[in-house]
Amino acid sequence: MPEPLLSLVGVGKRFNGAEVLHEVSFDVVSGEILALVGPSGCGKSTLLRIMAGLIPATSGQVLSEGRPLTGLNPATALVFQSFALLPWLKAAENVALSLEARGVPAVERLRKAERLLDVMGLAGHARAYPRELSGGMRQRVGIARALCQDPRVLLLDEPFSALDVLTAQTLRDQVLDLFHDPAVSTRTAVLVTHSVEEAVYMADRVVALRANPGRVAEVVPIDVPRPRRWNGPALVPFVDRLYALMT
Amino acid sequence: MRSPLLPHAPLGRLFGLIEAMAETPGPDDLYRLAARLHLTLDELHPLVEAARLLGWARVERGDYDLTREGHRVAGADVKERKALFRERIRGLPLIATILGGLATGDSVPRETVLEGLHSHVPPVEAERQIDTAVNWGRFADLFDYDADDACFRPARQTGRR
Repeated sequence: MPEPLLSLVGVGKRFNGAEVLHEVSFDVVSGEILALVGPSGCGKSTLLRIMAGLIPATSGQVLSEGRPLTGLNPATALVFQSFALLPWLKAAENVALSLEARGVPAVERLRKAERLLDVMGLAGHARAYPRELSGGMRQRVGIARALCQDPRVLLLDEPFSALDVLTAQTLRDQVLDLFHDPAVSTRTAVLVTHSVEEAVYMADRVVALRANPGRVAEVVPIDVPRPRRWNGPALVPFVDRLYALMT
Repeated sequence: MRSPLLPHAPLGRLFGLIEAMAETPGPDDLYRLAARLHLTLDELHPLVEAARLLGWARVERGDYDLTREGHRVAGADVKERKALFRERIRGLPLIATILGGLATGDSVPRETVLEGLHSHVPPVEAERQIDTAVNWGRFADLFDYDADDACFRPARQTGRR
């Protein structure tokens, strides 16, 4: 088995003395989509931010490609539920912004941004402001921005929950396609979701979390070939099992 | 007669609808589809209108039926969808007007297109028509639009066609 890209070893987190996460351990393996699913209060978004190095764990350790994580994790890039685009920048500029801090020259930044917008089906919207875009399009820009950093692991924080049913379903499939797209280097993702159906549809493995404090109930492999059918008969037993684990 | 106006269908939703239609290809009741997708009539209507206008679904007396091209769209990746969409919208009156203007000049002011619409539709609807045309044209890589000076411009050749 290859070395995991990310390892959480007994990770705990307290906010103002209250325990939010209790001894959470799991690995993220290269090439997989790992879903973190659980009820609100299980600390799944907090876990994602700990993996990104945005907040430190109170106890335990995060290993990024074998090395203990201190500070921001350059091997990851985060996609937010709320898109988090800067309204005064055009789509391509929003995407390119993440490269500015890395000292990439302006022309190259914009070229790469436009290539990733194209991957997301938005080449023609490169010069659109966020206000000119629908929710689904804004999230595509958010994903392009994350991919632009060539992360080893893409961290997706409820990326579909602000979208309507139809838009979300199209975008889920598009995200699954990304990891086979030769124009994209990223092959691994961690998806945080409160939808068991979504976790089972998207993921190779699902980490089922319990709440108060957040802890791992079980890691469930979803050994169902793709393409899968939303709520299809092959997936229903996994949905059933995960509900049982978390409630 | 088909309306010369564009239905205000966000494209992500439109493709979602086509995928959902492909799961129960019909002919089937629209109300059943609406219930399954938790859509109100107001939400469903522009999507269905768009699917019909693009030749991807037949809709009659509350039933829908995907066309052959509709099935193709449902299974296509974003690149192929874009190409099929482009061919379908080129000839729509508003899109063709903008493309015609760009064939003879470097840019077409939004105002110019708006004036042309004002004789057909109320001002608010005219503005919405332009916004939808901007979105559709950009997705199809047919033209670009610059909100800073409110002008349509030719598409730049950045897309993987």
